[in-house]
Amino acid sequence: MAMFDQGQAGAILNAVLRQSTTASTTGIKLRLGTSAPTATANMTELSSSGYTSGGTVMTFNAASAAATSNSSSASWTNGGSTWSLVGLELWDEAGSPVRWLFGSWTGQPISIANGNVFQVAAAGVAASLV
Amino acid sequence: MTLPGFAPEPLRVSCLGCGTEAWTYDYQHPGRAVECGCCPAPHDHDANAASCSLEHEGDCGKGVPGCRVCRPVAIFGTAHLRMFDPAELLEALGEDAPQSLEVTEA
Repeated sequence: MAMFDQGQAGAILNAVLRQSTTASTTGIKLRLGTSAPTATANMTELSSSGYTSGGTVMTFNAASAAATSNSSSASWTNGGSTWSLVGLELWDEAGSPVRWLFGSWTGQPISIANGNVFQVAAAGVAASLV
Repeated sequence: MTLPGFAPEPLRVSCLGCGTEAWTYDYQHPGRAVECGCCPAPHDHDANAASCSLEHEGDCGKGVPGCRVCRPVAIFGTAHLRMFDPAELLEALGEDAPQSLEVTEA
C-alpha cells in the first residue's frame, strides 16, 4: 500500500474502528529524500547545504471529497552538489516525530543543480483516499 | 480521463532573474527549459563554470566573479499521494492476468 506509513495506517484504523485517539501534534513537516520510501522503510533524507534535516513546516487545506493539498509553500536553495530528489515524507512535529505519509516526486529523480531552487507551491502535494 | 499522477507530468521551471516560466519533461536538466534574456543560451543553470563557459563562450558561470548572464531557476515539484500506487496496480494486474484468462476445459 502506498502513501501510508504502516504503523500510522494501523493508528488510523484504530481511530476509526476502536475510537482510539492518534497522537496530537502541532503540525506537519515535509521532508525531501534521495530514495523511494515504502510503508515500512523511510527514505534516505536529503543531506546537503540548503536543506535542514527534519524538513519544513507545511500546512494543508481542510479535506474535501476525501482529498486535500498543501496550502503553504516551501522552497530550498541548493548550496552544494546537485540534488537528486526522489521521495517525500510527511512527518508530524511530536517530540519524537512520527512519519505519516510518503510518496515520490512526479518525474523523479529530479536534479536540482547548485544555486537552483526546489519549490513546492500551494497544491503541489496532493493527498487523496480515493 | 487521466488521473493526476498516472501519466508523466511536466515540471514547471521559472527563471529567478526575470520570472520567465517554462515546462519540461527533462527532469534531469530542468534548468535547460528556460530561455530568456537572463540566460539566452540553454544550459543547466548550474554553478559548473566549465559547462557554463562552453555554452556562453567564457562569458558565464554562476558563482564565477564577473558573471553577467547566468541566473538560477526555481523548479516546482509536485506529488500525488494516494492509497494505491499506479505502478503497484499495474503490477498486480499483470500478475492476475494469466489466472483470469485461464480456460478450464470440462
